[in-house]
Amino acid sequence: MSMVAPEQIDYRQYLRLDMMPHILCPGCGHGIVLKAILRAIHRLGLRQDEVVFVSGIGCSSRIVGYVDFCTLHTTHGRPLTFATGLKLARPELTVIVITGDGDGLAIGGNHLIHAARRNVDLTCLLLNNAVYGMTGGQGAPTTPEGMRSSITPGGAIEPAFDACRLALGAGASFVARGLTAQPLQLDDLIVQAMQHRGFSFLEVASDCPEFFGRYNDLGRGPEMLQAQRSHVQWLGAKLTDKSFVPGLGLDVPHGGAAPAFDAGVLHREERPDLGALLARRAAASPPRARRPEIVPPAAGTAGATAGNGSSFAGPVRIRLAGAGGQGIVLAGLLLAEAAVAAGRNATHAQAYGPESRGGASKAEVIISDGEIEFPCADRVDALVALTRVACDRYLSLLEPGGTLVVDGDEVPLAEGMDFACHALPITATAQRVLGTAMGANLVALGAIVALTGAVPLEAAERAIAVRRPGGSIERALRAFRAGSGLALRHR
Amino acid sequence: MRVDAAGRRVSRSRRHGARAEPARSACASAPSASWPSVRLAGAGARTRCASSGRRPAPAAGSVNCSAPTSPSLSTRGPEVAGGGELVQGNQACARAALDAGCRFYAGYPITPSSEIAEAMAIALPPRGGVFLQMEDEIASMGAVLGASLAGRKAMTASSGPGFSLMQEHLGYAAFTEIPCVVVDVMRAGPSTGLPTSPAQGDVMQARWGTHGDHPIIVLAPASVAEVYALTVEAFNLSERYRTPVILLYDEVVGHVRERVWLPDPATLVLGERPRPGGPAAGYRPYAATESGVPPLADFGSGYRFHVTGLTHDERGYPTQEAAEVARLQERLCAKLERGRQEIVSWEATGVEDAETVVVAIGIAARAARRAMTLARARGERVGLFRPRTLWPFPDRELAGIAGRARRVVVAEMNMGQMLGEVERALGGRVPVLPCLRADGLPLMPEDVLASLERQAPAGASR
Ligand code: SF4
Ligand code: SF4
Repeated sequence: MSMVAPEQIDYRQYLRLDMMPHILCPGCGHGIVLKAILRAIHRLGLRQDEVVFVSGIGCSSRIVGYVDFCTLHTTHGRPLTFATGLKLARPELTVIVITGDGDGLAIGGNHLIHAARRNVDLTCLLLNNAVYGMTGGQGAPTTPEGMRSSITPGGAIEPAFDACRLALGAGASFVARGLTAQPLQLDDLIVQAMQHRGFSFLEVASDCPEFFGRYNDLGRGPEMLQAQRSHVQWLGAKLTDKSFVPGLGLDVPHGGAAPAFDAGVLHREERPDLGALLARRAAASPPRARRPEIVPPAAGTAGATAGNGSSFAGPVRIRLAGAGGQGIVLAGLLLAEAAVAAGRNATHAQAYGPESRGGASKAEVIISDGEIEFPCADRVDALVALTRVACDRYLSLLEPGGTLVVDGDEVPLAEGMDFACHALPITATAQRVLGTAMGANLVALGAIVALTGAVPLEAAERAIAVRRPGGSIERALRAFRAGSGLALRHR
Repeated sequence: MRVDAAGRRVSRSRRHGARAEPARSACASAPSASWPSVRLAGAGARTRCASSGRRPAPAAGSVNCSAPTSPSLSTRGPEVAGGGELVQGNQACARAALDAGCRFYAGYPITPSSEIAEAMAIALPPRGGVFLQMEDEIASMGAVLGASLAGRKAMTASSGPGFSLMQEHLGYAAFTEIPCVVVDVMRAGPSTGLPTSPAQGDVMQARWGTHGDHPIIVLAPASVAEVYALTVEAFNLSERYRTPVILLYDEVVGHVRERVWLPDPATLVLGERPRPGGPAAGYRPYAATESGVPPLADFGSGYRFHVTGLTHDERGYPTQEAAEVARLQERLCAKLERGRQEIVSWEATGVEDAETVVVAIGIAARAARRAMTLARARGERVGLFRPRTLWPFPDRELAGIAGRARRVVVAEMNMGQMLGEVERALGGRVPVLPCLRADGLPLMPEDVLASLERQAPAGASR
């Protein structure tokens, strides 16, 4: 690894001097990281206007406030979500995310996983000091077992968390670990992380003398840095092979000694980042017809006579009901679209259970030449029931003298009902003309259109032609016409 | 005050701001009107009033107050009858968002809002927009805010449970003044509740779901046409006032399909956030400007500034200075109060002679409208007041209108969330009675009629 000596850099050009003094404690490692980031930006020759810092909540996240860039200090654990939106909305920006071990691994762990999985082109620096500094020294997911904190005075008993291994497993295309104790190498790692296209994850072992150091008798800043140095195994750029993964991470000795850990670039792979994939997909998807649901208005059909020869007298409220998967909602939709195409007013409301298939399903269509003040009906003028359950459930809503259409093979009808009853072989007809029960909804549609005259037959056929249910206009029309034929014969 | 084609009086709030363009209608739901205030039962009309043999009494006029780009539902439609198209509420929302210039969507699937995400997933990429399915609603809101800071109009959509998760970032957006639009298609709660059933249980969550004092705008459409209009309006208000705007409607409004005439997008008046034009040095993203809405620069546009959820000064720097803290809080509340007349929108129908005024939003307002027609047919003087901005609540307007009534009925699909707000608005001058339904079914016209009977006006001065 090439170690570049720090260039001459006037840090003040990158700092918001009017924000000083800063809030970090003397000896805190986060300041070391901040200076390393500024040196890396300087080395890469990036303009301040094209770099954005995003951070979460915690001591480490506060450092973005002191630098003169566009800086976004977000909510606890969520900086990667803001950064994802920012980067994809404005890909030309270089986005650096600063997070801590509590921020990025506890409350924000899920976002870290998914940012890594998406391979968003971000550089994420996780400043790990094994403790919650800002809230007063509580244990973190990275507090090694046995180490003390304000809430684990007898030593942490939960195992610690290996951030690099997590990022790697989640799909980060660049994973590295650096130390505040080795700032020159850290510069180099930050430069590499920023140069990498895709999600770059860089964990920096930082130090919190104020809490972690004090609770664990590790001394102040200099002593803590010394301890870091003696425990690191510097891997360097050669260790980019995945075969090193098992050796990665914290082998935690019990009893309070700082663990040994590996540092350096631990993983690097070239794969397209999410922004590139989205751009590729967008280029491959030309704009569709703007309004796919438009039903062409049928000039001159408004108020036309319906298929059965009677003139329309609305409003007509029709409920279609059956089992999920029977295409009930689609049949209702076609009915309403046909009405609109015929110049009438229509509403379509649907209801279904949590099941995708097999549960109860219903659609409700109101057709009127006037206004429809309320688009749901608790009373209906016509009911189409393809199952016995549907018939039992909704029969009571049918107005006296209303039209009842049932699948005669499914629903036994009692004698003497005060309705115009039509028990038709709906499913059997679909089976006969199409060779499948899947067209039963269109057969039923044909029947109810013919029986109620709520829409002209030709308007319904035009709606079918526009929507192409089942993919074939010809087959759909065959089913529809079989249904209207059934009904007209039955009338 | 003007009279429209259907002979109804239509008033508009005086428009504010420097825009020279007259307000144009974003859409119309019917050639004449969506819910005409005069409805004559035709011979074949199968309504209770028709079967009772009595002619329905014509309702009184419909008074509308609407913000510049949100037309009243009774805006005139196209010159010719017929045509139009059948559009679902959620689809209308997605189309309006695209037409309003939304170019970023991040969301997480949830019934009954998923059609919005599905439509945006298809429509955004070919238009140079970005669609993202995030890991949860917290992340979705974070991504939306990041994209908005980058200068894009951005939105997300959800339902109650997801909306709860968004509250953290809604507070952030309100405090940092980042424009965004959040759609909440309400289903029955609390918790997972009834995933596919309608409710209006998020009235208060939309106002107070996040912690701390914060301004918020919540729009409540009641029809497919209005979903379109108010979605456009949501983006406009969000940009102009640098504030999150919530579009709140129930499952029925989201899933129902209605015949609408949607406008040519080129005719829409679209709002943009104020952006700085001066020198980058010394730019103050939270300056106390005269309008109360300081210009917001896009990240990466040459203005370098700090955004934080910490209480901040005019530069955006964290501060604990009591005077600074108070200044920010007061400006945030004042900015919507100052724009109130442009923001607040409502519709009152048949209220001039009304003894009973029903207050309702969403599908409950449609049920109330139907009930009103039926009640007037039997000679009862019933009117409807329908807030289109739920927040800020049109309290003064309601008080002015319903103060003359003998009683007010609040019809809503929850256990009485808007009820308290109506009581607050009326200050005890008029009895306020509940008509509530919270069983996963839509509130029906019969529910409103029943509550009118239960609470007869004579001697109702409880
Ligand atoms: S509490 Fe710890 S992490 Fe926070 S600033 Fe102080 S030393 Fe640094
Ligand atoms: S996961 Fe199973 S139950 Fe759910 S929709 Fe798919 S097939 Fe049906």
